[in-house]
Amino acid sequence: MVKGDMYLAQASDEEILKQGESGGAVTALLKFALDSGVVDAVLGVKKRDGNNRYDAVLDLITDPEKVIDCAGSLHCVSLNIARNVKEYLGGAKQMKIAVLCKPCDARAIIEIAKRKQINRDNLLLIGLNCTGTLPPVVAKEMLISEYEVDPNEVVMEDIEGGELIVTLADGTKIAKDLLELEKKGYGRRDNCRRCNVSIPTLADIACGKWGVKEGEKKTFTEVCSDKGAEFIDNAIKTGVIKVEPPGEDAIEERKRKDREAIELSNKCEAEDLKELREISLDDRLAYWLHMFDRCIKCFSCRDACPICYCKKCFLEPDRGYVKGGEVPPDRMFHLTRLAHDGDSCVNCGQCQDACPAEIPLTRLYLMLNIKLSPMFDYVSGMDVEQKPPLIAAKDEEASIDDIDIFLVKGEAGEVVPQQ
Amino acid sequence: MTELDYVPTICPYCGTGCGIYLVIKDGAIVGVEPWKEHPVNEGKNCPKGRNAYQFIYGEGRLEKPLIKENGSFKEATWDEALGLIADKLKGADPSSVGFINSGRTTNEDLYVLQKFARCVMKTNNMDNSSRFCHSTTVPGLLSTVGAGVMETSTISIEKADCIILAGVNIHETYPLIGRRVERAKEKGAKVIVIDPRETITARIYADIFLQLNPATDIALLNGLIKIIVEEELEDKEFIASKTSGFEELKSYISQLDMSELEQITGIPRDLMKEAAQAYAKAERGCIIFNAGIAQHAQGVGNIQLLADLTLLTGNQGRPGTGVNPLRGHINGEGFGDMGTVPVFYPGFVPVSGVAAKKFGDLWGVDGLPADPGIGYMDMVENCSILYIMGANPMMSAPDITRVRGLLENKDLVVVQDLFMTETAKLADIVLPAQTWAEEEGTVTETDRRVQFMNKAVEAHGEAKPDWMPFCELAKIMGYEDKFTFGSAEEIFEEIRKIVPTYTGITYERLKKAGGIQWPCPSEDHPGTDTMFADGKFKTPDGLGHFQVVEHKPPAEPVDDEYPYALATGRVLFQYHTGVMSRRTERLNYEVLSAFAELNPEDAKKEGIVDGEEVIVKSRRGEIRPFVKLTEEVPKGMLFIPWHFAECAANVLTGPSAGPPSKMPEYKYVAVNIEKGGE
Amino acid sequence: MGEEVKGEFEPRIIGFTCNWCTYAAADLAGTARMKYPPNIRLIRQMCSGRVDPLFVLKVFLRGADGVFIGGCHPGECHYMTGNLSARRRYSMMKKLLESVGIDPKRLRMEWISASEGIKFSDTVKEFTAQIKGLGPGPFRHIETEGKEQK
Repeated sequence: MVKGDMYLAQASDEEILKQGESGGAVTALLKFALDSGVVDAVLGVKKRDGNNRYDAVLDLITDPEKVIDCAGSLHCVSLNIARNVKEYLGGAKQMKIAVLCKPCDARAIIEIAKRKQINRDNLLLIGLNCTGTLPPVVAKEMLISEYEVDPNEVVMEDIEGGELIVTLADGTKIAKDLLELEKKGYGRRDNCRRCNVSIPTLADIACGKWGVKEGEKKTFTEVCSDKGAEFIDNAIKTGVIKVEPPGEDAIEERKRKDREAIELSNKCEAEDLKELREISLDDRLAYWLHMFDRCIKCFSCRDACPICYCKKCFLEPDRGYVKGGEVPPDRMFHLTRLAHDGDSCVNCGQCQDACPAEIPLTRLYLMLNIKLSPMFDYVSGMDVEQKPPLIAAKDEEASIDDIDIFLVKGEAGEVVPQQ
Repeated sequence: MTELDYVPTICPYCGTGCGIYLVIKDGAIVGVEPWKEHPVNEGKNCPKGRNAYQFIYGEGRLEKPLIKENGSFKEATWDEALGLIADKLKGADPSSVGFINSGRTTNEDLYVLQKFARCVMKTNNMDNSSRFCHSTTVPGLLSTVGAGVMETSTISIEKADCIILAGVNIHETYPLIGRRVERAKEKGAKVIVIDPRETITARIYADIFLQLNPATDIALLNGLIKIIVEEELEDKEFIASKTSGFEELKSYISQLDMSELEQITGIPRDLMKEAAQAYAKAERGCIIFNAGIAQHAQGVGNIQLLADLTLLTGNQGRPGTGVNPLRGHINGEGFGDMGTVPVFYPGFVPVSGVAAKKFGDLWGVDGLPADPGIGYMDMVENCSILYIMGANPMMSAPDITRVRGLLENKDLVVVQDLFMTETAKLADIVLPAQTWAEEEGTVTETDRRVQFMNKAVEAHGEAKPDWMPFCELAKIMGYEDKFTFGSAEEIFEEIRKIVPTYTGITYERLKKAGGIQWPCPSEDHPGTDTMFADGKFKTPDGLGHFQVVEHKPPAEPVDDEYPYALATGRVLFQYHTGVMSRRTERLNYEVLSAFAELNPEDAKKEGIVDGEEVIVKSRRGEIRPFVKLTEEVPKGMLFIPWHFAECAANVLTGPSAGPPSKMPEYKYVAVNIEKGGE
Repeated sequence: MGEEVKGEFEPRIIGFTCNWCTYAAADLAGTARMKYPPNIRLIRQMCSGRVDPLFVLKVFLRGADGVFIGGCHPGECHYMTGNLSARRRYSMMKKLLESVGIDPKRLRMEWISASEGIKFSDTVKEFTAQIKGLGPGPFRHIETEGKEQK
């Protein structure tokens, strides 16, 4: 296997094959990772309480037999995996972990790894395709009022082709237009609307349903790194998974679905940022100052953010920027975070989720990030070797006198998507 | 290999009841993570909640019982300590014993305490610090709507289209409830803020800001009622069918002179009109109030008028309406439900011979006390034996210089707490208690929401859950068979049988995020979001009763000697007596010490410079905080947060309302201020 | 510093200038009596690479109408690559100001070597005129004098 190889996989073990919603390939791989000693633990997700699809916690699994209990895809759960690995698992510096993650989780991990807070080499990242997650409390309200079902009856959710499809225990499927739901305040988390990375090729392996025929219990798997290639080779050799080539139409179908998701995200981005982009600078500033005025200095945004990592944070009262005890804090609080993290924001949305003042942070950060990305040829969270732009000055820049060279490049490359 | 666990529980600070996940690594709590499924806060927390666990590992955590010998504490065994206590309690006159309990302990802790007090000590002498914040709420609301509880759920507040925030700096004191107000605003709701200080709440929420003179709420509320009646904006149908006493109110109101009301309150009538019209015309008008209304000598009257406003406009019985007190403590509602008060048995059954017999039969004990007991400060004054569980009168009571003298002269003072608090230092026996993360149990938040607190880590040292020492004392004193509880769940099973509003709640059902709001009469009942939804109030005749209230001055008006009106209160970053929050690093980084807020014009007059030390004096004592000049306080007023033991605002406070509330007037104390320089 | 004269707006501009070149150029302009407007207050940095974006933000928040950064030409930095980082930061800052709602034209950066006294005074003249045209900065009403930062 090499980077870029694609195939359809399913578990060889009868038990895992039966339980897994897509043939159990991912479960089999995770179990194999533990069995073979490639990793010391698997970081999975388990439902908090019996069959509760709306709340889950991270589960550090060391017993291969327990891997099968890992929850399937829970659309109403959006755990801050990157933060938990950094904060509570010592950044994986002393242990090897296989991490099941969405694209944004993997991107966050890569950015943290660039800042040496996580050891990327000790992680085996098994990425899962994602088209968005939902906030649990609002999702339950939506199911009751829009879908008219009991949230406890739902066994699966899918976000596909502009629809949110809900499957009930008895097999009934109910589909509703996603954007219509979101107009009413339901649907996906705010940042998910504008996310354009559905297939996590930045992980070691990317797994998903796109490219798999309806009813087939297989997982479309793409090898995304040398580590991933070696791991898959061994998995096949040991016989824990069975693979077959996907066929041209499957590959095309997957590409098509990805394009569709990206188009949808472009549409949402244009819609969500339209007003902010069109109003005058003065109005824009008044808007953000009004938002920052609601801040209660809980520091949840800073704590949640994968980019924020300073041991002695600039927002502390003794750094001279943000006085202690003031509500709202000095505007330097939010402007500092924007200046420090804007270029590397991965749009994970954990900051906005955690903000009690309901400040739409992801919109501000995305607006800046979209401008910076073409300026510096930098896409955050994709390549652990790519240095954050502000410290990535190249030697050849010493022979370029033009002060505006990045600004000009940015203006040329900035794409404001049309609706 | 690392053991990593995530335990969902409730933030131990205020009455909002936000959910949090505690991260447990190898048996110790190492962090707080969002609990996104929790309906109250949806994964969001304030600075206190984000750092909720840190004080558990604070320095000086009590680990063993302590007995005072010759002025200093010696470590002892539980048997020794409890034996000593039992000796003193046996044969003590029931009227001489007082139990000061706490809204920071679980329902199970409180239930066992009141059962012990009543069955073993045959006394109704028990009370807690809600005497100091909502003792006016209960009589105020009982006389109008029949129940002193929050009517709507905090979540439903965002359904309102007009919200009155009266005497509550909600953005700092209950930010996650403030979030609901913000969300209502975003949907177009109008917000009216009533506060003598221009707090951050007024600045960011208020569409109409009624910055009245301190302690003039009655005049203002009478003004609003007058306008509504004169402009015929009242809900005539509602008044006719669901209330009584309107004619008396109308007659009283018509005699009031608007100019006089303007003069007393300092609010021009046009502004009052704007507010009155906005509230009266609203589809769902919601009144939220807290200490700024309740902590006054006239607190009962203030609250009766707020209730009158809801009855006047028919803003009752629907989600997002009503008159809503906010409980400060995490179990501020539960303590009342459990009956750890001098005038009610559990479930708000008034103390009487009938009640004594009823509970005597239920518990299998004869001779239960049939006369009401005495309240907090009366116990502090008169009881020779005080058992203080989780309370800190040396910081929270009024006139703490006097309190110190009283506590130093008791026969026995037992303090059961987490740390050597200012009160524990004066005790004869100190017992180590478990924190919220070490014992399991239920708490009942401000919107009657019963929630489960999970045990996350093992107990510190020999600390026990607050209910256990009472069971052990009962055993020593011969009542073992009545106190056979082996776990919190067993206690809760008994609570369910005794308190009708809790009957349908079980620990199993409480696994659900967000708990269950009482009343919940049966196991298939989902709980109750909004009170009085069936149109009947909890008064004997089921009607809402209008009350007539006359404006009266505060208990200790300002004069030439003490020309400033001091209000004590809370700030966002610290909490109550500081036992928990001052042992939390993040919070100390923000606010480390006490300060006095003073208007810059007053400062100029007194020759005081921003940031310097000042002396603030009242008839009862003096303290020396730093001064903070701000336009937030009007001229003639001071604000001092009361969280700091070394500069305790309650040295200055004192005058209280009379019965039934006996509420200390924390929001209006006559003081003077001068430069503190040498 | 700039005062309001008969209702006419006098810009307050802060200039972070590199010790080795732009600050020296300012000196040169001074000694050679090249006139430039008094609206700019210079803060000497050892390198343009020392200019933290937070300085720029803080200065705007405290009432500055314009911020100027002066550094050595690329290839001439006393510390080799400091000015290259400065250029990247400046570019990021422009976009940050725009995203938040502060006019990016209020931030300007130039390479001015120690001998370029004329360039210094011309730049300051031009920038001051430009800021005058833009009007007071978004936080100009903030009183900055005399307030102690605890």
